[in-house]
Amino acid sequence: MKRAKSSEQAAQQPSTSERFIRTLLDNLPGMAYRCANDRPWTMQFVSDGCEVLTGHEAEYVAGGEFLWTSLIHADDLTAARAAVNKAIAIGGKFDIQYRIVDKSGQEKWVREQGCGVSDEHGNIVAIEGYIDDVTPIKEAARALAQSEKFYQEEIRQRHEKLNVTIDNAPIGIVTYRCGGTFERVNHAFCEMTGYSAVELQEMVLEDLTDPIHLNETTEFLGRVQRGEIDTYSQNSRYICKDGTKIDVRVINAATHDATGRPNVIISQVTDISSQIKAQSEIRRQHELLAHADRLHTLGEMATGIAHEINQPLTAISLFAHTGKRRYEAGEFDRLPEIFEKLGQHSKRAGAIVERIQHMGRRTESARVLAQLNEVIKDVVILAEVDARSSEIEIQLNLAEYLPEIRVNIVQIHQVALNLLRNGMDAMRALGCRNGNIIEVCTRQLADGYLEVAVSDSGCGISNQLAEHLFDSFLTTKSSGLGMGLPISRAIISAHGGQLLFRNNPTCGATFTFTLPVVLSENPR
Amino acid sequence: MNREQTVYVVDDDEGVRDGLGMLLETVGLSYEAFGSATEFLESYDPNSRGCLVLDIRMPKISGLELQGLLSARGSDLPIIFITGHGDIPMAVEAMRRGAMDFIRKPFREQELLDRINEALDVELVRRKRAQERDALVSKIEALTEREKMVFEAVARGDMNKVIAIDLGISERTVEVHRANVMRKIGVRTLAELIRIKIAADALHD
Repeated sequence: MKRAKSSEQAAQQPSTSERFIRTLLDNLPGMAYRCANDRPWTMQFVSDGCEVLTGHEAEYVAGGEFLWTSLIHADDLTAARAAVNKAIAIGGKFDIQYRIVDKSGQEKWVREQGCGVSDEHGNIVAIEGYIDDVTPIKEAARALAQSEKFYQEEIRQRHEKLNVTIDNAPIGIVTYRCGGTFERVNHAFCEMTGYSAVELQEMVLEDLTDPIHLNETTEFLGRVQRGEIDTYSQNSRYICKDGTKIDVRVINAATHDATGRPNVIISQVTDISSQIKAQSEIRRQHELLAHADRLHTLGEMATGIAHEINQPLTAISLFAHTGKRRYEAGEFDRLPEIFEKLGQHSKRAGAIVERIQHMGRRTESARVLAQLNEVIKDVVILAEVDARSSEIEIQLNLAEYLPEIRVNIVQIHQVALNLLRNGMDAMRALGCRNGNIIEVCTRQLADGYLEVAVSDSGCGISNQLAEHLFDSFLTTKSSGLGMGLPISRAIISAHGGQLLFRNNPTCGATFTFTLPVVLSENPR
Repeated sequence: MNREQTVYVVDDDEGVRDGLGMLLETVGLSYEAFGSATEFLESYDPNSRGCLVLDIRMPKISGLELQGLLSARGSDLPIIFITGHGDIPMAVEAMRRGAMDFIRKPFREQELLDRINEALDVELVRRKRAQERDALVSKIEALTEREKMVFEAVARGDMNKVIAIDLGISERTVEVHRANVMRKIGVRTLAELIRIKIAADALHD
């Protein structure tokens, strides 16, 4: 309306003003116009912007012959006309967009804003307005819409992939607030725990965790909340809906809100019950095998052991008989000495029996703190049963002030006894022609291990034998099972040590095994 | 018991050694105990009298080996072996080599004492016989060559006349030699002389 007014004024006002307006209009980026309110919107005036917009010269377009509607895209004309007519009928402004086809045949989007111009009778005789090329804007908008659609699709697909992945994952995946309330649980997690997703949403992590793991879990959650850690993993135990307990391995990672504060923890939960069960079954089998091997060793040593027990029994019998004779003869003076001897030899027999019982026992896998030298001295007493019968001397060379170790004592006895007996067998096979001393040394290694070395003067280990030394059922002895060394090696590796061997420079072989020292700050 | 006899105990086990020692002492036998064969051999005197109680199973030198060593040194001390479980083959071998007996650990003390006493008796008899034998040998050794010839001939039952012709001496000289032989050997009758001759011959077989 304002622009129409100025147009009207321009026709009546002096030329300087008219020129000024003309300059203004011609320098607009789009096309200012006035057209008749007729059907083809015959242009009466157009600014110079017309040529850039339509490709047609302004004079031609405003020459009276040109039909503006011929430029408008056939698909848009009806809507455009309706919008314009509707606006001007009520004396309002219109603001429409439609496509035109310019002189070169190129399609362009334009925005047209304008209003009707009335004569003194109120008839709308003309339309004045401004048409601008909005093709770039339109294209940008369309591109934007397209890309938005693309990204929305992308996000949707990613979400779907993630959901499908989580829901079908073979491990439990669960998210929960730092406070422990469950947000989202997957199918595997529900299956694992026996609770439905709905039930879990009413629960917190603590409800599911076995009390013995609760402290650890709470401590981890606290550390995440305080921002000390972002990820952690733990072994835990859940109590399922049916009351059964399952061992789980949990790997946790925290996500953060916009301010960087941890808000959600994503847990990956693997049921390791069967794994743990399998491991403990393997351990049990190992122990059974080790026990069988110990019994076998005791069986082989039976003659020697019987002899060893017979000695104190013979002494006891002699002292008892002598005591009786002296008592009957009224000679009491030496009876206290005799009683003393009786006790002494009973204890001696008892100690041997105890060691045999110890070796023959089926052990629990408990490990205890022990002094390596004491463990070795104990087993040497048993090995001496064998040594004596073949006149071999066991020489001990024990380092002083060794730190403690945590071991299954029976099993370490078994390993040491096995190595000693193997060594002695090797020496016997040669008729002890390289000497009759088998040496046992203990020492501390630099890297936190203790070492036990058993050096014999037997035939040594040939290269051919060395390759298969730790194979099961390999034996060079007529009565052996061939399980001693494989079992010994398994025992030592289970203790975190190594069982090795080497040939001595002169003769015989040295077998060594290592055991880790117990660190005082970490008693585990 | 005979005071001159000693029971020599050789056992590497101190307890058994002590117990045996106290038992022997209690029954009034004199004894000496040794912890090893070597120890015993070091103090071994060929004139030792009594018997040996040997542990068959000992380090370094076993009882069986000690038996061999003593036999090589001409010892005739009776040996009782103490054996344990599984030592039967060794015990058999010991018996084959002339051991007197073996007794299994743990043993009945009375049985052991009986065996020891038997061994001591045997040793005593052996010694008495040996002494007699030695005396006889020395008596015969004391005869002159001519007297020995006469002794042989008389014991064969030759008449004095025949002996005189055989030796180329007078019958009277034969009679003197014969009287000397009877006196030196200490017999009075021909029958006694013949018995001594048989015993002396048995020594050489």
